[in-house]
Formats: sequence, structure tokens, C-alpha cells
Amino acid sequence: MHADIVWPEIWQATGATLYMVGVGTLLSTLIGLPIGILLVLFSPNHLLANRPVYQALSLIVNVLRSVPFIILMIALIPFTEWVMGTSIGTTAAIVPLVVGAAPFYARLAETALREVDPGVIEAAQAMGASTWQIVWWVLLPEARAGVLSGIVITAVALVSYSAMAGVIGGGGLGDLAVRYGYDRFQTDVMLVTIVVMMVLVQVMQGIGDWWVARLSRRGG
Amino acid sequence: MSAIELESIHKVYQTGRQSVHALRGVTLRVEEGQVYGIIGQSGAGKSTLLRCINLLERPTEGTVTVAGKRLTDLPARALQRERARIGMIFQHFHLLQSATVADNVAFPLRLAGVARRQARARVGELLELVGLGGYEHKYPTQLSGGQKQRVAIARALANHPSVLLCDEATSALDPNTTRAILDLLLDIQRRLGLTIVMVTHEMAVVQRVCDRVAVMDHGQVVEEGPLTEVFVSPRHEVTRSLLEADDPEPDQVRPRSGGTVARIVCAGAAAEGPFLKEAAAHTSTQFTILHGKVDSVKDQPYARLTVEWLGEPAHVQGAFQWLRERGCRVDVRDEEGWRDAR
Ligand SMILES: Nc1ncnc2c1ncn2[C@@H]1O[C@H](COP(=O)(O)OP(=O)(O)O)[C@@H](O)[C@H]1O
Ligand SMILES: [Mg+2]
Repeated sequence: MHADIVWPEIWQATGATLYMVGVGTLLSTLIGLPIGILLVLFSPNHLLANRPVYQALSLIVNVLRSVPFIILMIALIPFTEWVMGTSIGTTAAIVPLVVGAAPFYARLAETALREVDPGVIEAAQAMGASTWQIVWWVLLPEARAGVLSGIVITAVALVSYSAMAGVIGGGGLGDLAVRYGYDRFQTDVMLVTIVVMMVLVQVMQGIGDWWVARLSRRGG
Repeated sequence: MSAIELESIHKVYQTGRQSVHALRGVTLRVEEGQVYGIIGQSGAGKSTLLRCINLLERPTEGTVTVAGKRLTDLPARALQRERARIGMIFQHFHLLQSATVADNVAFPLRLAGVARRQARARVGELLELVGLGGYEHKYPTQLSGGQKQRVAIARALANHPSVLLCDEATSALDPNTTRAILDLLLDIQRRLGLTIVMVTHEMAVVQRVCDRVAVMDHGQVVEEGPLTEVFVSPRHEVTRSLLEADDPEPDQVRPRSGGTVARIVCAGAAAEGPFLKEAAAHTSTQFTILHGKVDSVKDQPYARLTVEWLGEPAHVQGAFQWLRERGCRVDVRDEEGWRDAR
């Protein structure tokens, strides 16, 4: 075993992972939440009930979710190049990360939003609320604990997705673990990266749980 | 102009291949300032009818007019504006769990674009009105059922509605809370000159607050009229069975001293004073009360009594005749059941 652990490289990789997970979670939420909202609204017996639209949307989400991330990443290379101008590097890796995680989050958001008591929605309708007022002032606030815990689950999933970003030169902790642990048999570096990732997940989950509990205590 | 006019309302629910004809041609008129009851057994179509008034449910056929506006002709946006002027409360309150009491009451104000400061003042006023001053920052989960319904009432009144729709508003509450909520509704109705439509399956609720009542069965209104009339002289089987809900079982009303068992029902002036005693004195007969009570419908005295009348058969008939002339309904019990023995 080699004694010298390459700390600067580890910190740099941690930064890259945080960057991919952070931006990836943000964009996945921004794209996934509206899709989740539409999935609920168009579903049978809901405000905009429309079977064909619901089924089309649902199919797209399912297709994207059924492709393994490693394959999705490679298949999306032309698309990534079109969006970012390049398909290589940490920033470019965010494109497949979001395409993979946004549908995942859309389903989590859909599940949370569907839990909202139909009676409360009906009361809002009786008060003259429009569909978008109901989304903004009833569905989202009432489901906020579920919507938030979905974001945490997505962020945690992105930690593991981003570990594959090395394939397209995205860097990050996963890439580091493979390069040192697998290619050079430097098991100690691999162990350190695993520990860093575990800490990362624990911290995210801890903050998320605390926040969700705080919201739920108030009845949300 | 009536506050609410429903004209030949039909509602058919299509569930898969089956269709449920929930309303079969209902025509109703509710006058301004009335408390109007809609009663019937579960599944009669009461909720569906109530939800047709603010078009939460769109009738398959027929027209709905509220405060002179033909709602069934309005486009979506205009309908939303009209709905804001029709309050509604529900059996299970339907409050926003994630919002404070104040934010729940402010919700319709926010929808209507009322400025924050104005909304806060109005919320304070409304919470005072329903007896929840100081509860602004509580959450619904911290309240009792009765308090939640008070919040719902405050919320329903926020936009100064002219009509308040109540769907089984007290059915999830215990008897004492039910009474308190009904009294609150009546008090508010008188102060604000509201028109209230109250759907319920309990005669006691109708008896306490309504001016008029419609009885529903299988999607139709089978009987309709002023409260005292319906209570004293019900014409439809369903009305009778609803009124008889609290009557004693047949074997509890067997004659104990060999007399004639009769049920005496009256309201208004006819129910005032010691009228049974007078009937007995006039005819040299006697009576014992087997079951029943003297209370009120809305603000009128109301008696529904099961008695055993004793004396010469002709004299007993005379006593019944005396009561009828006074305005009471008298049904005599025989092997087959209650019978109008005139
Ligand atoms: N959304 C719906 N879809 C299908 N059938 C319904 C629906 N709502 C009510 N019904 C049916 O319509 C009838 C009347 O229901 P409802 O108005 O709720 O009765 P009530 O309030 O008097 O108990 C019932 O047979 C009920 O099953
Ligand atoms: Mg009902």
C-alpha cells in the first residue's frame, strides 16, 4: 500500500461532486417539480383530468427512468454537446445528471402532491380559486414536507449518479475512487473517498430530516 | 328575486360503463334571508344538489341562478368571481393543515387580491365574530372539531357572501358542540341577513335552525314546505320515517291500563299551554304520557307525544276531536300501526 494519500486531489474531487450534486439537485427540482405538478393535475379525477395527456407525460417519465444512468450518460453525449458546446467535463456532466434525476424527482413530487386532501382542494375551488392559485397556495404548501423530502432523496441519489461522471471526464469523488482504487490499487484513497461520500450523504439526510420534521410539526 | 333558483336539475355520474342518476329533475327556490334545510337519507343526492349550487358539480341538465346571476351560463373566470360570494362549509372542515388559523381565514381574501393590512384587520374581525379571538397563530391540528368548524365559518364569511352552503356541517361534532355551532350560524345569519342552505341527515338540525325544508329521496325532492307544516303533517313516507327516528318502538307503546294509544303532534299556538289537560277536562277523560317531548321548531313551540288515553270510548274520541280542532294531528295505534282515526 502507498502511504501518501493525495489530499489536495481529494478536496478538489469533493468540490466537483458537491458542484454536480448541488447544481444537479437544483435543476432537477426546477424541472421535476412542474412535471410532478402536471402529472397530478392531469391524472384522473383531478383538476385538469385528461387521460391522453397524463399517459403521454407518464410514458416519457417512465422511459427516462428505465434507462440505467451510465447508459443515459453516453446516449446523451450529442445532446449534451448541443446544450453545453462540449460533452466533457464537470459542468457538461450536469446535463445527463439532470435528465436522469428530474423524472425521478417528478415521481416523488407527484406522490407527495397526490396526498393533499381532495376536500381542501374542493374548499379552495368553492372559494373561487383558479387552478394555478390552487397549485401555488394549496397543493405546494400542503405537500411541502413531502416535496422537500423528495429533494433530499434526489440529492442523495445524485451523489451516486455523479460517481459515474468520470466516464465523460466529469471528475468527482467516484472518479477519484476508480482511478486510484481500481487502476492503481491504492485502496486507502478509495476508502477515504467512500468515507467522504458517506459523510456527505449523512449530512444531507440529517439536515433534510430536521427540516421535514420542523415542517411536519406544524401540521404540513 | 329569490336568493337561489334551481330549475329542473339533473345530474348523471358516468363511472366506467355504469351511470348513476344522482339528481332527477330538482326544482327549488330559496328566498333571501331564509335558512333552508335539505334533508334525506344517505345517498339521496343532498350533497350533489348542494354542490350544484356553486357548480362544484356541473348539472347534466338544468339551470342554477344565484342572486340573479345565471351561473350555468358563466365562463370559468366569471364563475370563479361569483363563487367567491358564495360561502361553503363542510363536515370535515377542509382547512389548510399547513397554515395558521389567521392564514386559513385570510385565504379567500388573498385569492381576491385584498391588501395584506386590510386582510389582517378583516381576519381579526371574523375571528371575533366566531368566538376565536386570540387563536390567530394556532394551527388546525391544535384545535378541537368545534373550533375547526368556527375557523371554517370565519373563512367562508371573509368575502361578505350573500349565501352560505353547509354540507353536514355538524355531523362530525358531538351534541353540545353541534348546538353551539348551530346557534352561531343562526346568530350570524340574523346579523348579516345571510341566506343559508343546510344539508343534513338529522331532523334535529333542521328542527333547530331551518325556516323551510326540502326532503330528498332517490335524487328527487319528495316534500317541501315551511318547517311546522312538514313536522306536523308530513305527506311522504320518507319524511315520516325521518320524523319517527326518535319515536319509541311499537312494543313500547302497548296500552298499560287498557286505554287507547295515540300520537299527538302539533306546533305553534296549538302546542302552547296545558292543552292535553284541557282536552281531558273537557271530555271527562284521563291520559298518561308514554313518551315524547315538548320543545320547539326554530322559534315555535312543538310537541310530539305518545299518550295513553283512558275513559269511555266515545269520550276518548271526543278528546281527540277536541285536539284536532285545536290544530293537532292525532294518530291512533292499532295492530297495523299508526292510523289517522278520524
Ligand atoms: N363523484 C361521484 N361519482 C359517482 N357517483 C357519485 C358521485 N358523487 C355522488 N355519487 C352518487 O350519487 C348519489 C348521491 O350522492 P350524494 O349526493 O353524496 O348523497 P347524500 O349527500 O344525500 O348522501 C349516490 O348514489 C352516490 O353514490
Ligand atoms: Mg352527503
